[in-house]
Amino acid sequence: MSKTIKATADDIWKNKVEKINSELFTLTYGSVVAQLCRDFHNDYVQVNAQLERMGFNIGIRLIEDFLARTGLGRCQSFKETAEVVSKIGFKIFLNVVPLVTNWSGDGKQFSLVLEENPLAEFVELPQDDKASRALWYSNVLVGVLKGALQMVQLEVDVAFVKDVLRGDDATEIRLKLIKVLRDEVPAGED
Amino acid sequence: MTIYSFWMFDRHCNCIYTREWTRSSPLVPSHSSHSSVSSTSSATTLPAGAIGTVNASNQNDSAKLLFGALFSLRNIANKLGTLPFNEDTSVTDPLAIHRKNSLKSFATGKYRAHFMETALGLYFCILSDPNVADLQIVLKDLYADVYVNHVVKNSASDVDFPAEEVIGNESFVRGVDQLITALPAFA
Amino acid sequence: MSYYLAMIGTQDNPIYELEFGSFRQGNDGTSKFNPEMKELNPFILHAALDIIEDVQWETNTLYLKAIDNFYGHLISAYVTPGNVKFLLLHETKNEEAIRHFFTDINDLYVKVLLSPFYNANDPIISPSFDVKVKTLAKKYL
Repeated sequence: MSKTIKATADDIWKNKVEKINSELFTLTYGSVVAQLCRDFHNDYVQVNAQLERMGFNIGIRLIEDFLARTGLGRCQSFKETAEVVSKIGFKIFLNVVPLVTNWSGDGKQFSLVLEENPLAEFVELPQDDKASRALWYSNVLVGVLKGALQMVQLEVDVAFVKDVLRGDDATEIRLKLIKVLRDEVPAGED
Repeated sequence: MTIYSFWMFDRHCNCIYTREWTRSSPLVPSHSSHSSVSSTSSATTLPAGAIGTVNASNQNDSAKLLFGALFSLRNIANKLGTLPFNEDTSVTDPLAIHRKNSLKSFATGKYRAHFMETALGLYFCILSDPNVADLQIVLKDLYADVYVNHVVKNSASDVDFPAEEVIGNESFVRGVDQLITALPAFA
Repeated sequence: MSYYLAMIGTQDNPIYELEFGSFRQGNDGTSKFNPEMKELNPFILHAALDIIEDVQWETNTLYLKAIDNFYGHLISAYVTPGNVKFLLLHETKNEEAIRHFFTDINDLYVKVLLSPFYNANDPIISPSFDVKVKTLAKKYL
């Protein structure tokens, strides 16, 4: 990818982003997930749904912060969106740069592969099979991506495909563009 | 050189914030009749010592007219003057957002309206007297510093405003005032 | 030489235990306790807990060295800042190696604590923890 994107992202990360201790962040997220599991009595489907909702509410606000910090406008193509999300978005907020891979033939689906996941450091899922089959630990990321992209008029279906915590070799999120939403016009103009 | 007022419209075409610094603003007719009843009900209280009004004209006809003017001019600017989309260059240089032609300001005999649209469809508009040159940086600061920090990051306030809801929280009002009254253009 | 490691929680409940033999000098790592000793091992360590509670306040180090002796078998102990006790039953004196062993076990234990699904005083059932402890045993003992 071009040097300018990487340089911009590094510059913003170094200068304009307030930093906190990553262990504090990881432990806070961990206790949120553990508490949700306790509250829903280990109904992992519900826990996933809650995490996604929380992520959605975060995402709709995060996108404004992101656009204000970077000064970017709307992306012109889905490919551009993918690059901006992975190289600038993830870099600014989590200091990781996932790989954009597995583009589908029509250019409407792609995967983000995370080599390291700061949300899940030192986490071991409970030993029962249910957890490792049903729980997506970092599901909040799914909600964040959905919410943020919806605010820029892109309706995207986001889901985890693989997770290192479940024993897979990498953490992978799949994004599918469903449609581009229309901007609203004042009554009487249309 | 003065600044008369500051208006914000959201992407649902509603007026979500109004701040007027002087009663003699050319847009607000001093004899507003039927609209004054509904406007006082949503007026927000000001911090002590500040002048003017906050959120008193959100449902006014002048708000709707101002929005209409801004919307139409913005559309014209987008359609006339935007470069055609070029797949190759966009992928290598997506930071060239200014490819799209956008409205900056328009002036009449009595005032100049400075305009900025965010990528999410939020409109920021400042009315000043015609001699004030360019407030684009001020608008951007209002967005990035005041709006993002006090409204977006505040989990208790909406991001997507339902109809007729306005921005009322004090820190936002104070932030806007601090930024604007510190400008040299503000009399 | 054979070793018996136990980790006891704050409520005197066992969290983890492992029986193994030395990996040095061609031994294969299985413990060579005779059957009567095997049954007595947990009791011996449990009895040592009282001694730990007395000794831990006399020193400000975490490693308490050899605190008890049972018919020639030595018991060494290590107390974590969270009052979790690591006990090792062994036959030969080997202070330095055991100290390193305990320190590394402490590092592993802290990593287990960091997982949000692990509550204090839970038994440690993760197989990866098991494997790592055995690797450490191979390294030091």
